[in-house]
Amino acid sequence: MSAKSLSPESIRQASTWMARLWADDVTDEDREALQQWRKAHPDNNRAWQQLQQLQTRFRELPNPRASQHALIRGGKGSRRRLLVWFGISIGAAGLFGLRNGPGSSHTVAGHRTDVGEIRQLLLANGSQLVLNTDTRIEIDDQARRLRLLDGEIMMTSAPDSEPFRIVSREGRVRPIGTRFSVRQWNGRTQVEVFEGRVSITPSRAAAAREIEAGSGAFFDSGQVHTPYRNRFSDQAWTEQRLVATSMPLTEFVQELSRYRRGVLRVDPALGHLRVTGVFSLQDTDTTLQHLSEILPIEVRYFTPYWVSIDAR
Amino acid sequence: MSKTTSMSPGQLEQVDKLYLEHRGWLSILIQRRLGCPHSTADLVQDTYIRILASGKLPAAQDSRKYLTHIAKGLVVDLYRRRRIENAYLEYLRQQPEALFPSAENQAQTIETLVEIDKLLHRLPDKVRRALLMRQLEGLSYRDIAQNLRVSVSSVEKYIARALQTCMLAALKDPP
Repeated sequence: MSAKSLSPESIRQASTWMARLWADDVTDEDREALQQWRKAHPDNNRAWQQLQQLQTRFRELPNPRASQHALIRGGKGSRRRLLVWFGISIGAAGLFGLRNGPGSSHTVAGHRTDVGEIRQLLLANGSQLVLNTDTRIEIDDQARRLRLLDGEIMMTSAPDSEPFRIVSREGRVRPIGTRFSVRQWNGRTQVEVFEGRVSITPSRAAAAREIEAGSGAFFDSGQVHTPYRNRFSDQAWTEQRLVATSMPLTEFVQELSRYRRGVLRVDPALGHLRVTGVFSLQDTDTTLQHLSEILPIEVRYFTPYWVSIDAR
Repeated sequence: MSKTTSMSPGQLEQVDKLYLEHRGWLSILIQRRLGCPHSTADLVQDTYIRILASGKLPAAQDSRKYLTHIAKGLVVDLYRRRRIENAYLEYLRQQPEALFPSAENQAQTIETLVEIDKLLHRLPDKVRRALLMRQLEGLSYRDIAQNLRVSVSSVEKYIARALQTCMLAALKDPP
């Protein structure tokens, strides 16, 4: 059921219908005919829904005049060929922090992502932050402190800026010109460094320990555990991808279940199977379907939220 | 918008290898194009992430060409972002300070604007403006028609065309 399978013709017709619906002289007959068209084919209805969803992006813009100025003036730049690809913010729903009124420079702002949502934020010092699925954070701009309450983040620090410290339940992580991720597990925190270094201070430890690019480490409140080598592809979630290299199926399913609601159950007898590939985190149903094509398994849906994976 | 690609363990090794072997000159190339060291490290990383996300690896002899192609696209994206950002901030500067959104809200608005610009940039000026007037200002077709000095029926056609292009752009495959 991926959006991609929509036919260009259904998209064209949906667009024509929407343009009619918005017209000043739209009639009840038009509306009735539109309903008929939607019922005529499942593709039609899906194209219509997708098109409606696309309109929500315009609604995310708070200031129409400023937006229009930016898009008309700023959009007049180069018309060179551009790569269109899966942007992080495509599908990232909703605006955050709009409730903070003007002039609220020192506040602790809370942000969260829904299950399956991956969202990018820009911090006041120019650093880039990506929130993984089901994540909760609090940002204190003035104190340059980011509290990770749940979930996982990827931070790319802006150069020459006062960095944000990350505080997890087990301790602090201080970046040194860097790109790194922090994930809150139950009772421990995981840090992976992709550029630069970070310094970790567990809350009950006296000394900090540095982790270099290319490494990752877990820590609890008492100590930092022995670092391991990470892979470049460990950051693929920021692009809505799960990269697996010979990953046990059970672990893969556990990882995938972070991105979907409901129960995703896997028969423990399938523990010996291993998964390799690059999978979408955006449409986990399609990923499950692909999984059943490459492994001897059967994916059964009792309801959309109750899925069971068994041997075929 | 969703696609599952597959990379074998061997291919993933290759991505790591591509990274180790080519990041040096790629940084220099990107930095030269940007004219500043800021953002260069990010764009180098993003180049490789795109390769991962696309699931496509270049043939060994094409590595440089392929990486350059992706990096150039990213530089263009960055310029787009700067253009949009400048125009947006320029507008804000003309407003009373009390109306300023917080830095964070500004950043998020710019993100959304850049996304929308990506969807719209291929459209002819009038088509694009027709959609923006309808979607951002909520103008009627008659008002849009007056503004653009075209007929009302043209406006309806413009809107349909703009919506179609937007939608196709939003569903487009990665390179």
